[in-house]
Amino acid sequence: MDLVVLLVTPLFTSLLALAILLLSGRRNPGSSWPQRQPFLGGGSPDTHAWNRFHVRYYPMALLLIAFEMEMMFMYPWAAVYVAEGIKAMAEMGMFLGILSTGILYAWREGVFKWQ
Amino acid sequence: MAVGLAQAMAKRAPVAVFAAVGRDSDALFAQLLLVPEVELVTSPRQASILLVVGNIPRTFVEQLETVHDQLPHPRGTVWWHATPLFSFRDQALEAVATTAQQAALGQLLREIQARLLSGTRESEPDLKSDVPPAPWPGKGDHGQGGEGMMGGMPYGRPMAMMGPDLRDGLQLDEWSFSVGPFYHALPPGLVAHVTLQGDVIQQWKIHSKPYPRSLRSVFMEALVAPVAIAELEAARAHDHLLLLARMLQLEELESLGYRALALAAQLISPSTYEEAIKSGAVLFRLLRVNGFLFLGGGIGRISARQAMDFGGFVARALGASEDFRNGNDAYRKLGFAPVCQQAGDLQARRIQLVAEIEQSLMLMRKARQSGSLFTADRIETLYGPLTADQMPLDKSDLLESLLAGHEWGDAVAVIGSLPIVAVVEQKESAA
Repeated sequence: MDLVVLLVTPLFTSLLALAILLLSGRRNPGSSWPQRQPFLGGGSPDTHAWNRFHVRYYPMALLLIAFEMEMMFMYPWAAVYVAEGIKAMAEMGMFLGILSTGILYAWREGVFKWQ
Repeated sequence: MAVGLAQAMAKRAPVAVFAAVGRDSDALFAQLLLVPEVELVTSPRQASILLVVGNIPRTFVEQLETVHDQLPHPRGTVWWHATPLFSFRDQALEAVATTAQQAALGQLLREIQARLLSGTRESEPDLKSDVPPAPWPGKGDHGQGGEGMMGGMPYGRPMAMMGPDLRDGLQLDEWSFSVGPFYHALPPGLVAHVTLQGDVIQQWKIHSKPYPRSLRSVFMEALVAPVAIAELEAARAHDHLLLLARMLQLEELESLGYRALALAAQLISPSTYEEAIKSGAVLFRLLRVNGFLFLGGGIGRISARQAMDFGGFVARALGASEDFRNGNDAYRKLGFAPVCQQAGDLQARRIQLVAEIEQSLMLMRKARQSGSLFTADRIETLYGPLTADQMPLDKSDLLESLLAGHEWGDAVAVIGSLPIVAVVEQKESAA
């Protein structure tokens, strides 16, 4: 029964979408070439804006370690902290605080700027 | 029915207008900002009407045509105190040149918008021809082949090439472009060729200086004969407030910007000075509570020599406490004491600007009661010192060394805080 629904739903949706498109009768002509020029106050670009951004492997790897190890420790903690109570909460708070200092340092060093 | 309702609502909404600002148009532009039917937008893509304010030099016709073509349909053009540079066969040319029409500018714009939306007025066609800006014909018979992506010319334009990063020596892609005379965040008329890496400015070269401005006549009169200090200080506060409003709008603090503009408008004629003092108190209280004066630390720091070139509040924001009103008896009796900051960066200039506006309003209030007069051979203005034989010069060349290494948003804020335009004599123009 579920498989039939899985087949019928996309079929119905695509037929509905096609019907709306074909029966609407209104066509947008699209933008002309002059309209598509990027707005630079009247100026013009010299090159394409298809710029590549550097991956910045080293700072990204450090960030990964900071956030990922935090996550790794939070997984088993999440399983038991309801039973353990306020003490487990406080311990995890201290752990997160120490790691947040590292993240704050990285933030001030400009690691999160996408240049 | 739904379309009719939407159209009826659109007719009552403020008109989205993109203002292409030309020469000798500061007073007009300041008025335009306070027209209630107009919503000034910073990009032509959001506008229905292109409003040309003040004469545009012939050298910028092509740039104006580019901006006109970037407005989405339906669109119209209105020329406000400007010589029309283009016209269309099927649309009436809308030109506003007299004061009577000026008062009804908002109504006219709304009317044109209504006619455009209902289809009574045809949308203006493109001025430039509808061809790709840099076509790329392939070498083969079916348009295939030719040079590839790297080192080639897809669509006729070169790909971004790399250059060393200013901060840490990596090789990053650069993008260079020229930002033109109608960009909202730059002084009107300024054309610069900029090279960016991501957000960071590598190079900023001036191609065309901004249009010069003129000062109110009271400044020139003070050089030759005693003028009322109240009037002089009101004119000073007016100029400084327009700059402050500009900065607030660049930081997207729109309502504070409008307050500053309204206050500046109240300082034009002496009958509204009392209201100005009250609105001023409200504005300064809001500015202190808002975070505006805490922003901008460490950005756009100028050197002592550059500050000397500027003079005015910019020099005092770096600690040079020279103020030509300082030794004067009339000012001393009113309780004048020069204010200055130390840091010389964007934040210091903002704090200094607000402090000087407050000081000017205080002096104006006291001088109205005592009726003091002042004349000197050097007058303090927003743009620097004014003397009988030297008007403040254009300082946009300073931007080339100042902006390298700044991010785009910071650079735009720095330009907004520096009065770089030249000052010329006011020409006698029709109202």
